[in-house]
Amino acid sequence: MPADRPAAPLTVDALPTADLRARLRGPGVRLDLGPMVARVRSPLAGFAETFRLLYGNWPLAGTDQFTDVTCDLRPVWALRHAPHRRVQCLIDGQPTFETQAPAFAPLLFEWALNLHLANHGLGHKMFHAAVVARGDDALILPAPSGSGKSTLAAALVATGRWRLLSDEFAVVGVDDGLLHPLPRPVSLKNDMPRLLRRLDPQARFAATVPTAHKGPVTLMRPPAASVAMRRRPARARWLVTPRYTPGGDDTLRPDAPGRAMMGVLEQCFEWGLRGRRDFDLIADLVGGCGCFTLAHGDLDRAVAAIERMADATADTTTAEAAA
Amino acid sequence: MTDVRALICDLIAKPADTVGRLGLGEWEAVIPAARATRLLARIAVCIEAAGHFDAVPAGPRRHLDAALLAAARHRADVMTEVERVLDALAPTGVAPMLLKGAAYAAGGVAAADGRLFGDIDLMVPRESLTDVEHVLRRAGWTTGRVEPYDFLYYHRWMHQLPPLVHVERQSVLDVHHTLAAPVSRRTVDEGMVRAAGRRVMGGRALVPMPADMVLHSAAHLFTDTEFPHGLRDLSDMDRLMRGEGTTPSWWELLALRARNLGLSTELVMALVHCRRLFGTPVPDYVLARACKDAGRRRGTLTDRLFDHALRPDLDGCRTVWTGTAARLLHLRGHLLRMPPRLLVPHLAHKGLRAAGTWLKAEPPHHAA
Repeated sequence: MPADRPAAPLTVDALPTADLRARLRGPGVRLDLGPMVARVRSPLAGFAETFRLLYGNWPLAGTDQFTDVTCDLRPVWALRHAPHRRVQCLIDGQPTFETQAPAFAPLLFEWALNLHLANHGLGHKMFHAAVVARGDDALILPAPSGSGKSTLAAALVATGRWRLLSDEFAVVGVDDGLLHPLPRPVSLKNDMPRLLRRLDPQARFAATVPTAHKGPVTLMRPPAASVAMRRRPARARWLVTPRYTPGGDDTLRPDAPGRAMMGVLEQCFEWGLRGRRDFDLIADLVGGCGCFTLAHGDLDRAVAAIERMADATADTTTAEAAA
Repeated sequence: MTDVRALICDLIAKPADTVGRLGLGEWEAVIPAARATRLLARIAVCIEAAGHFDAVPAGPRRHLDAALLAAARHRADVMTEVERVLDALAPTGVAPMLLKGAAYAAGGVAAADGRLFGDIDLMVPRESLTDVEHVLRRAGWTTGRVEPYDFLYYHRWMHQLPPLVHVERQSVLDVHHTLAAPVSRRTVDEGMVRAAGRRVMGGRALVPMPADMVLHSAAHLFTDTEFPHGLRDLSDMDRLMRGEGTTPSWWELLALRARNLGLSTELVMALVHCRRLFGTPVPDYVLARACKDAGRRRGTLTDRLFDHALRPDLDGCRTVWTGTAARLLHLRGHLLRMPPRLLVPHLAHKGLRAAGTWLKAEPPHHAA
């Protein structure tokens, strides 16, 4: 008889389909995402399948855990779009975002989680960035949308040598200064899924959604290995500011830490809620990193450049330690 | 079904008794509802003051912590912004009277605790309005794009400039010269309120005396057309009254002041709702006095309508009658603000404008 060892939490994948559908239509499915617990409810046909595809690895929250946010994805009628139905997203009971076509439901869920995280950091400082890690050494890619950070991050993870911490937000612990993982589905644009499938044939994608502002967006299931390591924070080691430049030389150039920090501050929101302490937190984070810029145009070359840089600095550290 | 509004009010009024009896499920209902009605930080402040913060389970406690942080930030920011306003006004020699949230913060009263602050409300003498507008514009506040009809609406019929937004900091100023719209059926003598005011911020600004703070808040809430922060306003009034009410003569002063300002009706409504929701220790004789001055009973249909309407706009908080009550009170608010001869054309104009965009209407949502 096993002693008081807590059973491994049930994942979304482990739920029978009928059970998953019933929960989504009824009390909701509660995900333990780490920094927060989110409940999602939706009666939409097809949502359960997509949800399982994207969040299958993630554990369900226990009954002793507090639900931080509830997201409802409800079908609604709007005169303008009649006779087709639309989906409305409600966060904690408040309608949020414009209504969308039903195919957008999984994207709306991601937007809702992002918005909640952005508004209620709850003990973490956050800024827009993709974060990946080799072991416990993290690479931060701070940048706004359109910089290609999600694609670079996904490509690094596809090598199998890096794990995903986040493709959208860096989550910095206010107390420990470490980067906390939140390896949620990766948001890819245009034909990036095709490129990534070539790098990782096991990658799984939800149906592409034709957004008005960003073109076709495809959500990718986060790799199981990344989700399995979600409880292991990483220390920031490298900071690479990417800019997607067709025909760019895919070379890492050293960046002045001050300028790199300004770039990070630009990606912060929830400005200065803790005032000076937030500034110091970011300063310490950036100060401990090797900072670079990267004008990237070719995914394979960019990934190789980053890996060479990471290997080189790892060797330097080992040599210094040995000396 | 749990009455979430009652839980929110109990956490504010008697936190020591209430914290212990909430399970995680109830906290899951309370936190979003309190946040929606702008009372989350207020709850946190009350629980902390009662020494029961550690008794709150870790999950909801994180939300309370974050709310306290945000409220502290807001308070610091509003005081900084008031300083900037006073700097801008210095050449005119005008000492504005701060109202509502800004007054609570500058006056250091209990209603400022656990509060979020938005627009800064100022009242200045009518004759100084042009100078004040001039210096504020020069200091960077602007009205942005205002349609000619709205501009007329503000200047002639309401009692304020259109809201001024600062070009850099995006802070919003509401500059009034009276306490109620000149054309409205209830007029309040702003001279009396100004004369009784207290100097703050090194003498450069005024805040109303506590009784006037209560009455002003009541006058706005109970003549308004919409009540998104109604419960929060009642909590403000409750805290003001509790703060001052330890002096027995203060209650009589409150009733007398209401009569002198012609706000006895609004005072009755404030006392009735505060007592029922927050257990404000209102002496019976004061309520009786105010009812007599107002010429009304203490429990009318309007009171019951407000009880249904003053609820967070969320499932679990609304009652069956909330929507209807809100619509009826919306009409009542319009009637109180503008006489029918002005109101009918005004509403017709607004209706035509709304119809022009009706076909493009989305279901209501919050901008992300």
